[in-house]
Amino acid sequence: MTRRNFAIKWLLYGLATLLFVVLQSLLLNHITLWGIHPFLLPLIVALATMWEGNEGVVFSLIFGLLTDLTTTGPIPCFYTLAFFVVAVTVMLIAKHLIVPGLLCAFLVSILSIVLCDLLQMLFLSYRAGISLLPALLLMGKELISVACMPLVYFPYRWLHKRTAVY
Amino acid sequence: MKKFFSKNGIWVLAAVTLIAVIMCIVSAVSGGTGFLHNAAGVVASPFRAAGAAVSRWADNIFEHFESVDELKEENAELRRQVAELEQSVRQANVDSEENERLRTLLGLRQQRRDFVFESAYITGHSSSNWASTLTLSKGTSCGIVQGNCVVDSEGYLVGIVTEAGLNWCTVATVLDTEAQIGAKVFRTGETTVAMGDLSLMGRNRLKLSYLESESSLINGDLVVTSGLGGYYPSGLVIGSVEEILTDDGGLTKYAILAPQADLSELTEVFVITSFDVVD
Repeated sequence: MTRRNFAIKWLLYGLATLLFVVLQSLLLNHITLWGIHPFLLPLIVALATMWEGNEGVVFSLIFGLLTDLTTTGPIPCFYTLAFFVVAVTVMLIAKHLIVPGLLCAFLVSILSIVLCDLLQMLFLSYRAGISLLPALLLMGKELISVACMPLVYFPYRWLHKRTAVY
Repeated sequence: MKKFFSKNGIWVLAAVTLIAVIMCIVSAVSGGTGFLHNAAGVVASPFRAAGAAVSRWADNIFEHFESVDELKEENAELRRQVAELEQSVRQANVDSEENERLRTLLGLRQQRRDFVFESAYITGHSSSNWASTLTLSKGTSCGIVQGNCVVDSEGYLVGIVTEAGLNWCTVATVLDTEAQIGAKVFRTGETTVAMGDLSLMGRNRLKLSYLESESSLINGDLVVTSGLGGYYPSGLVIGSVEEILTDDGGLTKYAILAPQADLSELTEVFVITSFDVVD
């Protein structure tokens, strides 16, 4: 792949991601199901890494840094670390365990939310002393976000197939 | 490019991770808002403001098409409320004059509530389900510091400033698990603590803890800030009691509060940068 094609590919990924972020902040943040709103960001990281492997890990670090710049987490750089953990795990799964596809996307989406929420629980227990049971319940509820997986899966799959021919 | 990543990918990853870890450590070790975090906030602030402006514009368009019938109903209800409030104000004026006379007779200091407000736009809401925070468009350059109270246009408590940068600040709303506010039941004067709770955050509710076992709290009771310790001003309305429950152990009671401020509809808030309250 030439440098130009590489740049085009990640520009397209960047634009698609920007659209998902706009969708999250303008629409999904205002939709509440069982007290939570669907959270797309870990799915974006998981699915980009599932298709793009090592490059997806670098993408997740940059995306995490940008997320930390524009939102607040329980600690500074929370999303950088959380998305990195998610991306490395997903990369290993997609490389060695399950072939990238719909089933893999479904599983890594669940995993991404669980990993992010476990880290949230860890930091919030340290900072605010939250109880374990409500935190686990919230994590369970947040899995509703997996229903939004196709919104990210199909555009990224299209992008991956389209740019793989370069 | 692919060769570059196969050769140096691991070093790129290591460098970015190292930067992230250093930023975490620096922010955790430094007291208030760390330099890096502050700088990041300053850079991101114009983008947040632009995003919030687009969001407000979209909201205004939706509001424009709101049903006329709904607006008529709301208008009728507001007229009724104005009439009730006018009656209350008349009574309050009489009470106020009487109070002033009695205070003069007893040699007490006159009550006063002097607040210095700084208005700010909300440029970001937390998208995580684990926190309820807002990012505002003003910071330390306007006198805002950590611990300032934030109220809405009606004076209802919205939250507390938890971090302040040069031109931005973060507010933990009353629903957030980090918010713990000294509270007082307006009717009985009972002092207690209002705090965010993870299990109630999704329902837009908060918890009123440490109630006395013989507490006479009833549904609908108004809860205000106690002002004890002088850290926050007293008398800011937090919310009203919705439900009174007993802890799992059966020994202590707690109440569920509905916040008075409509946190989901806010676009502009007011930060109390300094106050002088004499009750």
